[in-house]
Amino acid sequence: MRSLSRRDMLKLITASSTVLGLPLSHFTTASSINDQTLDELVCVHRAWLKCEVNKAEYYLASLPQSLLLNADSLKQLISADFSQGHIIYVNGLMLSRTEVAISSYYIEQFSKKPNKV
Amino acid sequence: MLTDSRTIEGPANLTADICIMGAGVAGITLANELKDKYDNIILLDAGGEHYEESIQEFYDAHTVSPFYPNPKDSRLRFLGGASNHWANNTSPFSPIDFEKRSWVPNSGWPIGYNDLAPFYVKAAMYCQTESDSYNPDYWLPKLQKQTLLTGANYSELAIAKASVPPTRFFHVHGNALVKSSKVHIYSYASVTDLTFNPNDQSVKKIKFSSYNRLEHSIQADKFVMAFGGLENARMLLYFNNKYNNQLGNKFDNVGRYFMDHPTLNAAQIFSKSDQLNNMSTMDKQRFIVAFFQLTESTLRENETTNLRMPVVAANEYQMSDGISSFHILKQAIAEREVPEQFGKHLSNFVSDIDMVMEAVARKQFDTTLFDDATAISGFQIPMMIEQTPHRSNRIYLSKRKDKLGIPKLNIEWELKQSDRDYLWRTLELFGRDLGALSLGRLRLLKERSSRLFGDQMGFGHHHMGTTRMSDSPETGVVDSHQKIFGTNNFYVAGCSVFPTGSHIPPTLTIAATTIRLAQHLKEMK
Repeated sequence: MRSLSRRDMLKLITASSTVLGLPLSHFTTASSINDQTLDELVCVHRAWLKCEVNKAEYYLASLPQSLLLNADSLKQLISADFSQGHIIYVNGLMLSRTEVAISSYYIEQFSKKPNKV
Repeated sequence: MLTDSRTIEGPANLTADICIMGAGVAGITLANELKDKYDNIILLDAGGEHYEESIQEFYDAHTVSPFYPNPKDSRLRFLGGASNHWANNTSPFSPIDFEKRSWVPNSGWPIGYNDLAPFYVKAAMYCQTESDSYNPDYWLPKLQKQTLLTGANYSELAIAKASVPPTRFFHVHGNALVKSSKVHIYSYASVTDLTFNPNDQSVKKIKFSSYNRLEHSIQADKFVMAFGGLENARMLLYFNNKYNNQLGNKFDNVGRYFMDHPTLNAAQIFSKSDQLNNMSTMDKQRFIVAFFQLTESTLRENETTNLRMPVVAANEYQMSDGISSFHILKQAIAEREVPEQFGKHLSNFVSDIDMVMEAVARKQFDTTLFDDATAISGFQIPMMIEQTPHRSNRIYLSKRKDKLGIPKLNIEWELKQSDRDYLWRTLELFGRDLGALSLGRLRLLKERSSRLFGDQMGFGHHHMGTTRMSDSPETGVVDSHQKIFGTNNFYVAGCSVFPTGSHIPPTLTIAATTIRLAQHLKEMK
């Protein structure tokens, strides 16, 4: 796989935008995801593990939950990440720490579901 | 008056108030500026009115460094010089470009931005980009981009203007010289020798060949070299061989600190925003482009150098990872080596096989295969880098000679690791602004470094720094009035005098510095 190709990255950003607008509790209920997107999320997850000591869920838990449950405030959180230099490179792509944490958390939850990974 | 020097019968002994050697952007601008003050100006050019392969051959050089192009393919040795094939891309340098920056070795001009600013307006007239400023506050509303970077921490938009069609300096400004009774242009006049009197530190005369075994001489009160960024140094090194380095080369500075503007596609932008589209417009026969750069305060705080970052929409084919990986793998196989990140390149190649096939089809069969290859999938940044000046980047005389017996050039050039580091640092700051403003996500193509800084590296062909301006002969070749150290009537015009080259194409600043030189020469009259 091309890890994070240009086309799939657009898809990922689109998907992330959608995902970010959803309550975190929805993440664990996702039931299907195509293999390509799954590969890319795994890639993001690996980038998190490479850069961070703690699991993504602990980082997300440290944030005010009200920020995570609102799309606008989440967008502000991501903007602040970029402003403050809280970025993580995923195959050269500059993503905010929060974006990567959410993707990483998602894949962790997904991997817990039987018959998925 | 314009004379083909091949028609001069017998060796001629000419006299002039000022002899300008080279009729490119600098030489033509200077002659135009001086003709209202000086009555007898001679302007020499080594070529005629059109391109000729046999004349162009005199620019042949040996490039010691891999990937650095032979100037024979970028300079033009005929009236108008390289303005006969330039893109007319103009912007002024920024105030910080003239400053001594502690993190940029050998930086600092002996003049400041304010010394040059008054001449930029007239320089723009020569470049036919008009006098209505390069101020973003003026242009961004016209481009509807005035709010694009509102709230940005590091970046700003700057403006480039280009005349359409590009201004060919002899075609546009040569006629006034040809018609002038005060200017005599000699074409096919290739300078071959110089006579210097060390006692009074003045150049007495020069000789030129008209390629037909005849040599002619010119005596003048003042001489100005405007041969071009490489030829200025080449000829000065040649003259210095004869005069024991008394012509500005006491400290071995001629030919050193050579700079160019490397051009790279080192990053891509992925964006769903339509705000990055339409960054340019036409305005009265001019092409106006907004490009990104870092603010001066960002450069200072982060101790980095600037990048000229225009953004252009790119299709699937242009953004393909697979094609790039294919080339890396192909090269590795040819060299029987395993490239770094072999698995990644292999997977890029396999998963992007459609675009690789598209590339093969285009190259081998001149046809296209897939409709989606033309689908817009992001933005490329054809960026231009400021290269920092280093003594070890240099040109020097080789043992090979041209047909007139003058040594050809060797060129040693490399992009230092510090410049590469600056590139990534600057891009990261720009990428943080893109993310913070929700304009998109930046992808740095570091994994392509071996190719980006190798066969994929392009050049502005802006040959700068080889006769650098300085306060002292210990650190430069010419003084703040572009007079060669150790002489009292010998000057240099062109971007060879630039101590640093900014991230901006140099022609507007060449014209501005030349107009400033003209003012100085007029004041001396």
